[in-house]
Amino acid sequence: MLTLTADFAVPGLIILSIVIAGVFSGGSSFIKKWKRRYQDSKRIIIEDALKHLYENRYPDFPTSRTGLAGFLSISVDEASELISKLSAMGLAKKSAVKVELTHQGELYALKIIRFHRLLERYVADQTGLQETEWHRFAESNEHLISQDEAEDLAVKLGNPIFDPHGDLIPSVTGSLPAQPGIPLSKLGRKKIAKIVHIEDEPETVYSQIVAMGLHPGSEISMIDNSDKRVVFTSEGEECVLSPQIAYNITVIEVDSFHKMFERTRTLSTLKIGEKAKIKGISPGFRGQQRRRLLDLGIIRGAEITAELKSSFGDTIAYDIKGTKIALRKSQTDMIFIY
Amino acid sequence: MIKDNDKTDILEDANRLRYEMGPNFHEHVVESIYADAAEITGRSVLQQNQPGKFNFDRVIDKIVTGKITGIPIMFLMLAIVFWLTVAGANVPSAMIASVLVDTLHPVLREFGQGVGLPWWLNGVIFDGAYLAAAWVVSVMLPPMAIFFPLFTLLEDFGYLPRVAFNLDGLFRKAGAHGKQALTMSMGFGCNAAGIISARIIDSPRERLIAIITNNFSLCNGRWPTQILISTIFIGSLVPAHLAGIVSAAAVVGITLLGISFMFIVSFVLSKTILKGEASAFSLELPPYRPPQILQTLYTSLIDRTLFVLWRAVVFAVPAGIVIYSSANFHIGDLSIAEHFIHWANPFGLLLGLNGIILLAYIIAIPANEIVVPTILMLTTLMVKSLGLGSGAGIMFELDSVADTAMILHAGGWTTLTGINLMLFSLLHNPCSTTIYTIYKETGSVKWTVIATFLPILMGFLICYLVASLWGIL
Repeated sequence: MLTLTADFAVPGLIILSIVIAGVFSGGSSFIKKWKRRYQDSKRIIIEDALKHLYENRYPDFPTSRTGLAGFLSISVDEASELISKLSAMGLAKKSAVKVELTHQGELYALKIIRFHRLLERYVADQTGLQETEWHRFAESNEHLISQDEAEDLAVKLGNPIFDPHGDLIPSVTGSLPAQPGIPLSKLGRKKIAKIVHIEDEPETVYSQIVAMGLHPGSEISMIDNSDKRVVFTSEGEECVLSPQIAYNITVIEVDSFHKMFERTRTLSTLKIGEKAKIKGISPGFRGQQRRRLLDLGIIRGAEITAELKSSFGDTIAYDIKGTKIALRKSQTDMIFIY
Repeated sequence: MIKDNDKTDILEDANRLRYEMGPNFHEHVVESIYADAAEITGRSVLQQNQPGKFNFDRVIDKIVTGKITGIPIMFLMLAIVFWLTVAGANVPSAMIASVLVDTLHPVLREFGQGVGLPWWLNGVIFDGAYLAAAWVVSVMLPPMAIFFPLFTLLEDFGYLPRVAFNLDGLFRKAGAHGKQALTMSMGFGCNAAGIISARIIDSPRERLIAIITNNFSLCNGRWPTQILISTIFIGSLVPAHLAGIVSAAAVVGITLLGISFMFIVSFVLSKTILKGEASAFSLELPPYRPPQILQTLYTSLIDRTLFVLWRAVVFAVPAGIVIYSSANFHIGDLSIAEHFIHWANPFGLLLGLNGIILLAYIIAIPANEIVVPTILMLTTLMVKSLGLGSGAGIMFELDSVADTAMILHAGGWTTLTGINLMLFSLLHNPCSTTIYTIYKETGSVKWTVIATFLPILMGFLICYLVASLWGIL
């Protein structure tokens, strides 16, 4: 029987693996998105070009045809064609040396930036996606979302004005105040400052910063700042960055540490049977995650005792106000005690 | 009346102020409110000290979450619950079946003939719809009426959250929530109930993982199939005095295989289409308390047992009609079932199964409980020489395992068919009740489709691989 049916085997397996792949990539909605993406590919290029022109609008970095071509990975000819198209649409004006956005083009660019940052806020607050994935998610969805969908999202998120990296979200009318602060690489020795923004591009640099546990809202104290390296402490840990990377972090100088960061010990260092008081939750925990911990009684001043260790892994049960709550190490690393 | 210009100005002003306040203003307000509330509670609410009770809890916790004692106690508890369910359900199941199937079914049939219904209508109503519904009630009701109250008692006592706590490390590595241990165990009773119980997981991503992987828990409807087939095909491979142990070990093996698939699929899902970290993990370990037995019985019977049973019956009625029609209505010389079986047989054999099994899994979709009766009906239909003519075209089950084995062997079953049926019983689409429940709980066609087809594709693949290896060896 097997010899007779062996003819089915190869095509059968091929079909099977295609179907499995289809199911894993999200089935019909994936195909729909892909189709829409294909149709919208022209729109995407225009919008990406506008974003690039907006980000380089200051005269010290004028955008040239080659610059634009490089950024969008298209040929120089295609770039000139694109620029002509943008001027025809009234979104950009070109001169011999540079390309500039018109007022209308600037508004369009700000709209896309608004979508991008709203989407980042959404993934940060409402999904479990990792920090390094936020930008990519927003980058691919900002062109697919409609104005109405974006505004619905904004309402659902409580009309946020900051994205999770600390960037300001442009308003509906297209206004965007200047970001305050200085690059970390320019902060003087022994100064204390608060991180207000971390640039999320390029991705490799961003994930390096995230891996050090630095978040908008973290407070840092500068130890040494030279053109070779930048040394500072954050949440009790010493961090070393190259000046190039430190440039991607924006800080505002503050007079003194917020109480929470004075001398820091995390809940994960508490041994079974030991007691402590909660000092606060790291700014790295936002939105839903933060509120959930507050709901459980992880509040400044509350007494907490480590009670039990799980048989597998690092989950530990704590006694908080007479209730036993189990937390994972990824959470207790972000809770400060004294 | 505010003019439009003024309105824009006010909004711009408001936005500027919000920019100046910084990103964490909202969180600061929330935190201050929580801290104030805690402070007011601390001043005005008196807490009674109960040192005795507290210590009692601590002693139990040390034992049930201990490094050495925790896991054996968990297996022991689950084993007791399953043993009580399987052993305790036999008698009431037989009683219900004797009333609904053996006594009432012939009466109703004669009544149908008496009032002059044509044979086909009589068959569709009483041999199809009625019989399927009666079967589902008699095989589903007793195990569920035992399993759910026992499970709820353990939950009420406070033991189950400790299980979730103990296993959280494993589930975390698979990208899931420790509470999935509970929904998984509940799935051993009934997948539909397991999927409803996934409501206890509050983060949507982990909840979806728990829902999609629940089908890898062998449910009540599949235990009897596993035990029967294992006795016939695995037990018979070894000497008689070892048969019991070996066939039981095979069933346990399939169960553990299901649990491994649950972890693997959870892991793959959390790395692909459900990417992310545990968004807001929390797990409360409530104090131990004496279970409220009457209330437990009431809620587990009404909320879980009857609720699930009702859904199963609703799906069983149309399926009964389809099962009867496929076996009794003819196109040309052959019944619809025979046409399908001939057509599907090559594919079935390729998977180490056969056309009958594939058809049985399609038309017995309302409940896994009626898969074996349907297989027996279809086998007697195909193998006319068996002389069990009375059974042909109507679902039936035999009291004797030996008779069942005889029919299956006559149907061309080999050890490979037995093994692959056990695998396919673990890895196939959920029953229609469960599929409907998945849709109800997720509200999404996409996730329902994934939860339905993912296990069946895995089943095809695994059965095909086993059959190919079998051919080589």
